[in-house]
Amino acid sequence: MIHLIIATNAEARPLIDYYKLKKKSEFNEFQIYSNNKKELSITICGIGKVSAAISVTHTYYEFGCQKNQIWINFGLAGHKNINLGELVLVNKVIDTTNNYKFYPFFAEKINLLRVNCKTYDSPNYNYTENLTDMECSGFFFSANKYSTKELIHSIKIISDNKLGKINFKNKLEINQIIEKKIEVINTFMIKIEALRKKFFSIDLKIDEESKKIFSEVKFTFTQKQQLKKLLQIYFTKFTNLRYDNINLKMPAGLIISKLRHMLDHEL
Amino acid sequence: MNFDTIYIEKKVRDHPQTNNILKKIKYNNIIFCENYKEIFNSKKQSFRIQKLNPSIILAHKSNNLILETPKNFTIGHKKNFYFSHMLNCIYDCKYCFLQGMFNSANYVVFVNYKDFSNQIKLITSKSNEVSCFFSGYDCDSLAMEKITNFLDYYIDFFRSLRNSTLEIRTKSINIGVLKKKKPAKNVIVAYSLNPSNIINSYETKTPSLEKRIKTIVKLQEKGWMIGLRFDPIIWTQNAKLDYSLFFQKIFKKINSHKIHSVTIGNFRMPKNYYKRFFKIQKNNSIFLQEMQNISNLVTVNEKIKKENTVFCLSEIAKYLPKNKIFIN
Repeated sequence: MIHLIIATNAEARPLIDYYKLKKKSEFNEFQIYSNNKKELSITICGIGKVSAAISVTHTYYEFGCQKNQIWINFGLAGHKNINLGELVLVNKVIDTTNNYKFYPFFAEKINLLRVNCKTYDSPNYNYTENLTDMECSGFFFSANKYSTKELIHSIKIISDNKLGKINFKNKLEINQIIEKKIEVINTFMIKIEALRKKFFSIDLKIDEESKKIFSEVKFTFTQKQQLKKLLQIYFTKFTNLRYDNINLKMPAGLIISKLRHMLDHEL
Repeated sequence: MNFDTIYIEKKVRDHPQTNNILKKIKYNNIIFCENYKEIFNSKKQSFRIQKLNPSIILAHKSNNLILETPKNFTIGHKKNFYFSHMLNCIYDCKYCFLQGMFNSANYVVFVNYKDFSNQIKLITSKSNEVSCFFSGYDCDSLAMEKITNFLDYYIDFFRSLRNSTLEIRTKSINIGVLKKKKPAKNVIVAYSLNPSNIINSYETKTPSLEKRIKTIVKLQEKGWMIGLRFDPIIWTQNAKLDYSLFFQKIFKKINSHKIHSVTIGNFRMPKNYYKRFFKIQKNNSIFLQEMQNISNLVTVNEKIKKENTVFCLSEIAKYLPKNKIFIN
């Protein structure tokens, strides 16, 4: 699943509309939007790194504590000389208060400009070579508790530079600047989602299948580890676990040796 | 070589070796950091994902430059040390302990070669015995030579030392630097070898057995001392036949009189590394081998270990005197 963490409603609106997300009404600490298939959520976190961090945790629990999901911080940001409306990726985050640093990892070639981002506790209008914001460090700090670094990113659209800025009070203007980049954002998210599926979708299957087996058959700790590893190898080759060679009335040791035998002959 | 991102520690941004490396690589982004550990050691990273597109980090190694090897790790010398000018490897061997040892698959290159060599000089100056220095513990010593110039520097440095030996452990066939240089008597080029079926299944992105053998023959002709490293031996169903034919093939093509040493080793990994390795490796048939945990070291089952070590020892002894064979 992809979780977008966005500071304000105005910044989130074009994405909420594009993905046809609906508001989850039962919570009022944070506004959360998601689609029926639960592939995408948007959480409006409010201003500041603490809010950003709390909203990540809130979203994580709201969607069933699934590890290694995609977390993306999106928003507008200022920079000294990057053109207004340009979409950039954050490649280093520095918290100006506590010196916390985070370095996102890009597993594939992505043709987007990459920029450092400094997170401040209060608004900063001194334009430098770094993006400035108030959420990024809190977002990354919190998201990295629940997901691997390669699935956590921050995407920003330049809203102001030393030559000019958009009118932040004009929602239409904000809408327009974001709408122009939605396709690029979408392509980026598809790439990251493919990566997540490739590396983490098996984990879910192993969890489900091993829970089923452990509920029926008594395994020691070591046997549980052995079975999980064998299932890991198994699911890289097959979609479903075949129960023609093993059954849940067998003792744990026999299930393991049968599975190992099957894999020995398949690999 | 192309890299998505190059990270540079601020303290080495003007180091001559940094500039040399920057001239040789292509990169999309450059990011400065205070310490390579900010990137390399941070938790919750996926070694497997990073292996798709590793970045390179240029750094300064400040301490633990030269370390003693475990006691039984030797090729005949009493004093044995290892050092790593680089962390991580361009290859992706399924049995490799690096993926259990490091959080990140990014390559770290320590550019302060001179600090390493000063330390080596100090160690050798204190000893009358010949010390052996192993490189290639935490990387492949030769594979990134075109970028690092590691051997270009160290071969000449070791040539100037009297009581020391350098082992270059590698699977690489990139021998430009060895062709260019006059062979040094105290430098051993040690090739890790396994039967082709094991290379195909376990040693992803490495040169084929044929290519490695051809390279060894070339190096022997040129006058370089060669070591053969059968480590780890992977015991599969037809292992006896596979390894027997494999040794036959090797010793038929390679001049056994010009071999410095052979080592035999089994899969082994500290328990802590193994735990992480176990967690991150999905499709890895190494886990089909029966393992045991003795004194926080995970190895293949004792019975299998004994069987394959005795077998390999007797097979290799058909071609080489036993005093050249070491078990690690």
